[in-house]
Amino acid sequence: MAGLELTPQLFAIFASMIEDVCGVYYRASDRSLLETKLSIQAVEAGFASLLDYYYKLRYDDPDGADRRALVQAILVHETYLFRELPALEQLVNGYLTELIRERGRVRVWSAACSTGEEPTTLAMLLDRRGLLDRAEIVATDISAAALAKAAAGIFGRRALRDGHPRELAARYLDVTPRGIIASPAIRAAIRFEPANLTDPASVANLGIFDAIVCRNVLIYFRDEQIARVLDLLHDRLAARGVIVVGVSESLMRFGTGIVCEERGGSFFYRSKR
Amino acid sequence: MTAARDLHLTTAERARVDHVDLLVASDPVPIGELLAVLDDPSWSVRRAGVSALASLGDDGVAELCRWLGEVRTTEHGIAAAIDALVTSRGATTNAAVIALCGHPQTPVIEDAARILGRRGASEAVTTLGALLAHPSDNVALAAIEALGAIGGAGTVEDLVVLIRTRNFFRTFPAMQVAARTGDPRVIGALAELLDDELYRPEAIRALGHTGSALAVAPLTALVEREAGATVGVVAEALTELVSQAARSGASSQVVSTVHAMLAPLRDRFVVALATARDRVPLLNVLGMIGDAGTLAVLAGSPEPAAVRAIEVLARRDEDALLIALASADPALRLAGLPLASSARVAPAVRAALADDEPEIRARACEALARIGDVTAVDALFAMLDDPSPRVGHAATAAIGALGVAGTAARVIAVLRSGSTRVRRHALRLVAYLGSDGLFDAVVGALGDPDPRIAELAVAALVSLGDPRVDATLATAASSASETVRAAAVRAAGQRRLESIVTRGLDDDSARVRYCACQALGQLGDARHSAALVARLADAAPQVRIAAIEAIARLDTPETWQILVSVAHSQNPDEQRAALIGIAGHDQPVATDILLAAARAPELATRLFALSGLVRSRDPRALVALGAALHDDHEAVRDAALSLLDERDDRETSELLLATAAITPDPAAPIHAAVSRARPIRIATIAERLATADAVEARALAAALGRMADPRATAALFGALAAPSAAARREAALTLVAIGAPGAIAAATDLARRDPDPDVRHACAAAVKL
Repeated sequence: MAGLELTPQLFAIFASMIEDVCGVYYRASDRSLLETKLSIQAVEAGFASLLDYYYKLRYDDPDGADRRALVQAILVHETYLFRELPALEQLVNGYLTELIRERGRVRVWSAACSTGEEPTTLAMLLDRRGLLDRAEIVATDISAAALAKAAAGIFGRRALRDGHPRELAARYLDVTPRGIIASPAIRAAIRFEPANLTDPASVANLGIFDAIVCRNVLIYFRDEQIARVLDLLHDRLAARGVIVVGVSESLMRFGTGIVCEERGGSFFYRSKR
Repeated sequence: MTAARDLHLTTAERARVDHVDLLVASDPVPIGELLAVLDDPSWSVRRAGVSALASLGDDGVAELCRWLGEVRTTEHGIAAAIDALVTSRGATTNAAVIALCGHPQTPVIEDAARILGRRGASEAVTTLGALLAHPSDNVALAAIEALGAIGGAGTVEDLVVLIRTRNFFRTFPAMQVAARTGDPRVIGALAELLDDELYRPEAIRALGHTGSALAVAPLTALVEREAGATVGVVAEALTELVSQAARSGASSQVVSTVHAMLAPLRDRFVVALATARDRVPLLNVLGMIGDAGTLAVLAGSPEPAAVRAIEVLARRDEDALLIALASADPALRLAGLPLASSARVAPAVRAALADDEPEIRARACEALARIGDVTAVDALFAMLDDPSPRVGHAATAAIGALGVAGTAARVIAVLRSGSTRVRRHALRLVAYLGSDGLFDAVVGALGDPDPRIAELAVAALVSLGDPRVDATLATAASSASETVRAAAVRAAGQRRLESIVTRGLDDDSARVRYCACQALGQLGDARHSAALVARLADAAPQVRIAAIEAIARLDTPETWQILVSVAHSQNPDEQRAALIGIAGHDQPVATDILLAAARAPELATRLFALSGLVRSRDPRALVALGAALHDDHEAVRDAALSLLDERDDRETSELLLATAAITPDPAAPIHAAVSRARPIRIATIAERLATADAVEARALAAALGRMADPRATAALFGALAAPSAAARREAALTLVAIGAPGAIAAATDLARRDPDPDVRHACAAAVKL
């Protein structure tokens, strides 16, 4: 009953609007997916057609609140604990451990952390090495709803997948009927902040980081947008800092001021500065 | 072009390129001087020479061929001459290059063969076929590759002979090229190589490339006697086999054959999965041949391919579906629910209503509606209070679709629910059911403290036939709430209550004025044109746009002029609203405006313009839509294709066929569009098939096969008597591949009686005579 038609023309209009708000780019093949998501939002907001809904968002949303609400509602929050673990282990056990030994403290940014599984994993890995109190973990996301879930530290059952490290799970996670709950020390070690990776102003006050983990996010952006986001991340990166992206993402084609280096089978990007 | 080229040139190179331009502009063109450019040390200058010579067409062909046959000064000069002949647009080029195949020097023949392959010269197939037996391996290899590039099954028997020679240099490429013809005659030769360790892996893969169900038997025999890595290679081949069979619409026949022959051997694939580096092909095969017992193996596999395999398996095997629905893995439950369609699985689906995952609960609602499980109505009403809007809407739709007796009474009951969510969904059900007995309950909802409920109640009134509805709408149109007034004006438009609508035009709220403009558009009465024109100066852009949309529905000279004027608005939304109206007028001015808008910088505007052009009979519209098929933006290409797909006329069919012919990827959407069953499209394809050469015949017959439509199948049967032998052969092979009733008898008849030996042999192989 919520099914409203998203014609190719309307799809182009909405895809452009969503990209403007959050950088995420929907491809033509995603039309059906976006149609389902938009239909529900439009009907819930009282609109009988997606074109009416578009005009509301375009011309009757002076502070952009409705557009942001739409984006928050349709963004993908699919992630899980210990996702692509080897790269995080390499980051913690190699790079961050060395840096803490050298400088005493590190700052890590989990960018676009969704519902918090990634920073929680990072915190567990740091604590296992006894380094959690030497690290400041800042986790950000554009979605206030996702951040609220993240801050609660309670994850759905799908957050734990086959092949996860049982020793870490047993030590830090409590599997309850309410969901999977991270231990209080792990939750307390992460500071959650709202931030939009396509808006430099929204990350300006986050400070400088020794490591920025931004995984499985850039895949949703077009190349021009990725280049802009990389510039933004680069500006937040300490002199010897590293950027960690997802295993299926490569930044080499962007020719920005970063170089790729391989550490134990994982690829990190370091500033050329 | 020169400017872009200059960026990469030194001063000296630029001077020489300019000289080439001067030579081309001369009359007559000094071809000898242009040929000398082929030896220039600079690649950029040689490229300019190649372009110049190619552009001469027939005027340059003879000299280029003479140069290639007799002069051949340097390697890079030869490469440039080849490029010039490959890109030459001369009508005599293919014939001239075919003549070079009789040259005494083997390097010249080799070059000629390569040129013909790169040109896709189907008239060279016989010549190239003769070169397969050339004493020089290089010439034979060039001929094989050229035949592969040209495609078609014109020389299958020559290629089969080469495969059987087991000549290292010729057998491998011959296998690859022969297999891709899809001709059943190659299967026996490929199967023979399965016994030879040197050729076995490539022979397995080649069997997969045939796309023929006949390839399954030799692969099955191999799995019966081999284990380990070979099983993985067979799985790759079987995956490819199904994919290739889809070209001619025969994938379901191939999948059935794979299942029938390989299901008893499924354990071998399970064993291979445990150690395979590439697990995806094995998972694909297990989807085709697995049973409920296989599901545990698939469920433990983390790859998305495992979920796809489970979908394939569960679609065929309801026991497997039940296991998937009860699985602890949410991915399996998600994959299984859209497949649930029988009462037997209904209990498992009902259980999924309590799932943790909102998407699973929503799919369970949808599945219950599909199954028609009326016993689930109570549970579905309970889902109206689900915190996920997706689930609530799915439950609402399911209740509406099931439509059991007593639903209206239940709706009245839940309209008194303490949950806002439930009351909102209940009103959506009212709008869907439209039962007059619900009037009082709906009016009660007008006073609901939730503003959305009151708005939904107004919208629900439209569907009721109660005589009090109009008066109630008039009252609602004076509500203090702008959303209620807007809903009332919209509802008034649907019930043609003109006075309510026109009053809305002067409302303080832009939302109400917007709805009023829309409602006037629905009324479509030219008497309101002045009121709408006045709204073109509204302060709210969305009201202006709604006014334009409404004006577009009023067919008067004045409104037409307004649309033409607004079509040049700086506001893209206003412009697009005008384009929608302009598209309704099939006249040259409208086409001019739409053609201009089809080149607009905004993607959405281009799409609106293309959408408008699809209805135009102006030949320029078809040209623009055809050009959009090659647009840089995927969304434009997709839209153009789907718009062209709506047109069923000869010109559009020809355009689609021409585009498909230059799109080699069989998975490209153009091939799906070509094979959409439309009466004129079928007739156009059938007509061209009747006289097609080997290459075209295969593509056209496959397109008809993919249609899976009785009219297309009839056209294939008709082609069995076509003048073209290639058409008869491909039609027969396609009919057998798709399992058309009567196909075996028809192919058997051709195998015995067709005047062309190639047709007789191909048909005999297809029916295994």
